[in-house]
Amino acid sequence: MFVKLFKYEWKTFWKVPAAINLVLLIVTLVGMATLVTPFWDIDSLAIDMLSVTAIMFYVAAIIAGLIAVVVYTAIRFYRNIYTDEGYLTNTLPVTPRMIILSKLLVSSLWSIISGIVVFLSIFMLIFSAAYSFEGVRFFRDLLEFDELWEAWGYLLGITTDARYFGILLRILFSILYTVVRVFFSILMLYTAISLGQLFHRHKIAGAVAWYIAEYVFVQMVSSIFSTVLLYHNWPDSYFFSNFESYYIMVSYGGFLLTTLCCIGMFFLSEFMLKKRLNLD
Amino acid sequence: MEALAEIRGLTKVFDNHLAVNNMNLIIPRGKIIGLLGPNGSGKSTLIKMMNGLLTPTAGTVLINGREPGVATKERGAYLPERTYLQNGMKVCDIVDFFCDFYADFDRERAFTMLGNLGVPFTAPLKTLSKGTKEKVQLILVMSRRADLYILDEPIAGVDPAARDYILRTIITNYNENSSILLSTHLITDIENILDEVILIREGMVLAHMSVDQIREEYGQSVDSYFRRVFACL
Repeated sequence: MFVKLFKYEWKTFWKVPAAINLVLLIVTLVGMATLVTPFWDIDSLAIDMLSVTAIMFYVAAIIAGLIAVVVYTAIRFYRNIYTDEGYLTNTLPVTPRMIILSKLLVSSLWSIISGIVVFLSIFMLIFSAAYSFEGVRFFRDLLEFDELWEAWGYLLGITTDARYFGILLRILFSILYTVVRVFFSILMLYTAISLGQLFHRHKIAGAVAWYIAEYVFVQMVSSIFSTVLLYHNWPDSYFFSNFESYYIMVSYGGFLLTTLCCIGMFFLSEFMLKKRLNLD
Repeated sequence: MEALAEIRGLTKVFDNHLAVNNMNLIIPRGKIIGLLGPNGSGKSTLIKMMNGLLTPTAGTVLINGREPGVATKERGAYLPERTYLQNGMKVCDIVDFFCDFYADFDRERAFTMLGNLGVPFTAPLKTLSKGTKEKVQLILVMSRRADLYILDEPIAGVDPAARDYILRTIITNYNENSSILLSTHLITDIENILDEVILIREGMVLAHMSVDQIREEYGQSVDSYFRRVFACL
C-alpha cells in the first residue's frame, strides 16, 4: 500500500516543482548564452546597470522558485489531508503513518531535486562567467585536482595523510545532514498544519501561528546549543585552536538534535491524524 | 447474526455545542437503513465518526467489532456529501486509483455503470458538472463489494432519471451480509427501497424501526411520518 500511496503522491506532486525547475533551467541557459557573448564586454553604464538587474532577477527567480516549492508542499499536505480531498485520503485502507511518510518522501525528493537544480544553475553560470573572462585557461586550471583537494583539506582541517578518506566522510556526512534538514523543514510544515487543526476556526492562520512558534523555538534551542558548545570549548586555550573539535561537535550534535526533532515531529503529525482528526 | 456496526454512548461536542449526544445504535446486516433527521440533527457528524473522519468526544464506534481504522476502511465504503476527488484526475485514472487501493473494487461494474450514465471515461473531473461528479463518486462507492456502505446525501445533486438508476444500483449491489446506511432529505424518492429508518433529532436517536412498522402502527408513509415527527411549530 505504501508503494501505491507513493506512486499517486508522486503523480500528483511532480508537475508544479518540475515546472518551477524547468523555468529555472531556462533562465540559467539564457544567462549562460548571454554570458559567453561579447555583449557584456561593452564598456557602458547601461550595460552595467543591465547586468546588475539581470543578477537581481536571477537571484529573485531562485528564491521565488525555492519558496514556491515549499509553499506547494504545505498546500498539498493541507489540501490532501485536511480539506475535501481528505475525505478520500483519510478513508483509504492505509495507516496515517503511511500517508505522512509517502508525502514526506515525495516532497523531500523534490526539495532535494530543486536544491540540486539551483546548485547546478549557480555553478553553470559561474563557469560561463569564468569562461567568458578567462577562456579555456579556466578549465585547464580547474583540472589540476591536487590543488583542489588540498584546498578542500585545508578548509576542512584535514591532515595530509588522511585527507581523501576524511574529505569523503565529511562529504557523506554533509549529504546525510542535508537530507535530514530537508526532512526537518518539511516536518515543521506538516506539524504546524496538523496543530493548526486544533483551532475551531481560522485553521490556516492557526497553522501559520504554530509555524512561527516552532521556528522561534528551534532558533532558541539551536542558539542555546551553540552557546553551550562554545563555552565548553573555550576554557582550554585560544578558541581557534579548538575550532575543529567545536566544528565536529556542532555538526554531530546538530545532526543528532535535528534527527530527534524529525522523529518527534513525525510522531506528533501522526498522532494528530490518528487521534485528533476533525474534518469540517 | 452479530451486528455489523455498534455505536455506544457516542458523543461529539463542537465549541460547546452538542452535535451527537450519547448515541446508542446497532446496525444489522443485510438492511438498507435510512438515516433521517432535520438539518443540523447530527447525521453527518455521526457518519463522519463512523468513518474515522471525526474524533468522538466520548463513546465508541465498532464496525465488524473494530474501531475505525485500516480494517474497517477495507470493508466499508463511504460516500461523503462533498466532492472529494482531485479535479485534475481523469475518470479512468480515478477508477484505477480505487482499483489499486480497494481489494473489493469491481472495475468492470464501475465502467458499466459509468457507461450507462453516460460519463465520459477519459474526461478530467474538472470538466464535468457537479451532478456528474456526484454520479462518478457514487459509482465508485457502489462498485465495491463492501460490508457497510455509508452514503451521505447520495442522490441530492443528480437528476431524477439518474436518481432512479442509482437507487436500482443500490438495491442490486448489496448482499445479505452487507448493509447500506443512507442519509437524505429526499425521503419520498428512497422510501421504497428502505428496510429500516433511524430518526435523529438534536444528536439523539428518536426512533429506530422498520418501514413496515411505521406503515402498520401509524398507517403512514415514512415521508408523512417524518413530517409529523419533525413538524415545525
